[in-house]
Amino acid sequence: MHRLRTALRTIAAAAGALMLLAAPAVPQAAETPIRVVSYFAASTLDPHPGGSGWFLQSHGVAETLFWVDDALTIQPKLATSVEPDGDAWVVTLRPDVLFSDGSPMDAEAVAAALRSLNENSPRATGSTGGMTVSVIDPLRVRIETARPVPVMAAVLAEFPIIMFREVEDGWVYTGPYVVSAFEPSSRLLLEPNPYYWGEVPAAPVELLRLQDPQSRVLAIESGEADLSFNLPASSMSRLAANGLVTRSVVTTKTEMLFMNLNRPPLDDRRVRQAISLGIDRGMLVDAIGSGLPATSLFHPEFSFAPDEPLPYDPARAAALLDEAGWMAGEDGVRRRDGEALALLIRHTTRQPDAVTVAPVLQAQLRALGIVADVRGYESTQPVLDAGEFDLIYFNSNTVPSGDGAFILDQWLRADGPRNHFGYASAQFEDQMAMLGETREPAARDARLLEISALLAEEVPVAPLFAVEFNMAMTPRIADYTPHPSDYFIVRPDMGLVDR
Amino acid sequence: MSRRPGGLAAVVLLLGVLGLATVWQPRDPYAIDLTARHAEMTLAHPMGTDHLGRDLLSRVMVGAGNTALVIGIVVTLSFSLGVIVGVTAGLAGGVVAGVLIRLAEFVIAVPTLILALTITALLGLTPVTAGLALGVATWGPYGLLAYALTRRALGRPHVLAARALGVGGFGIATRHVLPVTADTLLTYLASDAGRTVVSYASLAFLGLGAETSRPDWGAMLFEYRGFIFDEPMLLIWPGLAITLTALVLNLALEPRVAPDHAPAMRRSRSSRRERGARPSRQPTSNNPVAGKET
Repeated sequence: MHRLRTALRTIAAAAGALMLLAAPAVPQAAETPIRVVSYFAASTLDPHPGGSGWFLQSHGVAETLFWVDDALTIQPKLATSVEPDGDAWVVTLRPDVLFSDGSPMDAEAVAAALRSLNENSPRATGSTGGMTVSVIDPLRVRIETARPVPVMAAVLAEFPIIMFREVEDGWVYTGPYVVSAFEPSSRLLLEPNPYYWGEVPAAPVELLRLQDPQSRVLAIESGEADLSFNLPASSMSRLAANGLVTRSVVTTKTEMLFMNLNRPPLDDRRVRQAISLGIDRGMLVDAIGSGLPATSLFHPEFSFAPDEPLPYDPARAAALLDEAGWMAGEDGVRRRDGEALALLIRHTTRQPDAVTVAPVLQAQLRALGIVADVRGYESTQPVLDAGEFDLIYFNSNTVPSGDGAFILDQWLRADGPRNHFGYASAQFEDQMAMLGETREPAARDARLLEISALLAEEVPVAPLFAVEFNMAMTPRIADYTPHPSDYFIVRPDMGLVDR
Repeated sequence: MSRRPGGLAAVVLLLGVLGLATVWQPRDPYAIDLTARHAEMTLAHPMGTDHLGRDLLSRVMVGAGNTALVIGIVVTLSFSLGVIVGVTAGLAGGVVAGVLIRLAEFVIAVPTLILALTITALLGLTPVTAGLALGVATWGPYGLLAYALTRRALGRPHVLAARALGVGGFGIATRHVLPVTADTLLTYLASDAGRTVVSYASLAFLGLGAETSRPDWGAMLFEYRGFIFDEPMLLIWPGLAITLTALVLNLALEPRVAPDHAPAMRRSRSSRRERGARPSRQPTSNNPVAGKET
């Protein structure tokens, strides 16, 4: 068996090398770049489309005015402060920031970027309802928002609101790296930005997208990558045994089951409550060997997240289903008016642990008397748009800007740009309106805790667990510090140990 | 034409095993036991368990049942469609034959897996939809083969006499054409069954529209591929099942060739391979129908 394993590893290493060699060639930098393998790569260098800000920020190309640091607190980045000015806000900028073409990032440039995002990027206005921006002086802009915004720093830390300047042949940004070669959704070559306002990175970076988690494992194992990101937990012990540096970090991403309230039986709150109560989140975490059971939509470490994991109570779940008229038959399947309680669960095949979580979820629902048909898909958005699901299993960074309002505005408000689930609750809308008027941090925490309690009662979504990202790196970049999200994968301090 | 000795017995045994696997497994193939993850091979778990503590033998057996169902649907559908189209074209001739044969050639020209993937992506991947998809995607060769054999059979003196006496198309087909073409068509069908096993495993591996946790052999290869280094038996068992089933079907149902015919058979196979394993529109020299004609 040992020889078999050795042979398999040798074949895998060769396959990984071939796979990378077979990838389209990108002009090579003068220095050997740090090779990063990730599960996504920018599909465009245009800052306006939906996920573009996330991609470009994650690649170290673009930056926001504020950001959420490694300790999950909101900190200034391209700005130095934001202060209320009546119902508006005044943002003061860093004086030393240049775009990658050497031009200054002054108030005019920031205002132009914000206006452009306001007009062309629906996600950039999700929290504000729209922005009116005016220039006060070269280092200050004034922002008025269509909706009251209690924590403007959090809004300005949202990934869609990146700073850029449109130039003749595209866009320039302020990040530590500049894109020197680009194959959409496939590969980028990133050169250090000589005009970067912080410490200029030590080496170029080549970023390759490998969608399949096992391919990412093979890439690092074969020595063809220096950093491989978002790996299955099951492969980590082997990678460590092979001399690679492994790191795991619990992220601000939460794995969730969103429920489709647009069609029965999930239009019945009791069925939704039963599903949430029937899921043993500890077992899910145990099955994949990483993560933390969810206490709410938010990472448990945030001050506005409840302390206790969501309850697992199959007896209460069974009683709720009985109450809803779904009675268990001799075969254990619940039926009402002769119709079986059957649900279609969809999940993306890109998530490394989805094929492990899916059968566990299926077994737990089956124990409740619910027949779950679990099917994978390649891309989430078409499934959401078509609405062809009862439950959809995916993860999202629920606190990308350090404040809990973002995901609630985007995914659960009745008019939220990503509310594909038919959730429209007057009580929730009222609470969100009150949250919008609450600025004092402790009071906001209390409001968000109340909202989490309401969501646990109405269950438009069943949070499952906080996602842990696993990564492996060669000793060459052993000093790499992962951020607890996938918003900052390529980092300016990503240096070579041997330099 | 005769089969290999024991071939039929091997197929019956195989079908028996597949049939048993459909209705009975030693354990619940979906039951999760995280305390028994990656258990060694024991009497309780003859093939061990997977990363969720599920009994591997039971999962391989469910996969066997699904595979048997797919084989049954595919060979029935593709054989029936192909023979009906081919014999109809042979009897009708003219424009009708031209249209039907072009249709069969079109089905052959479209890659089987692409067509089957498209259909299963639309309908969802179950053994029934996979069987229907593969059946629709693979009837073309049967159509061409049945057409060629029918045209040759129609040239026989007794068939010509029957037609002269006013026997209708249906009577000609059932009494004079099918009896002499059946053996050749069934031989092709037998080899097709082996291919079907691999095709279904490929569809399940790709998993487009498939239920994630259904224990199909191909789906198991996909699900367990992350354990190839640490727990290779998770992949070896379903891989072995695919290989053995395809091998038994191919070897057991392959016609036994007399030594003096063997070189001709080899030549014929070589030329068929060069043409992409498509059956010739003209019967080959070793074809039993052709042999009787000449």
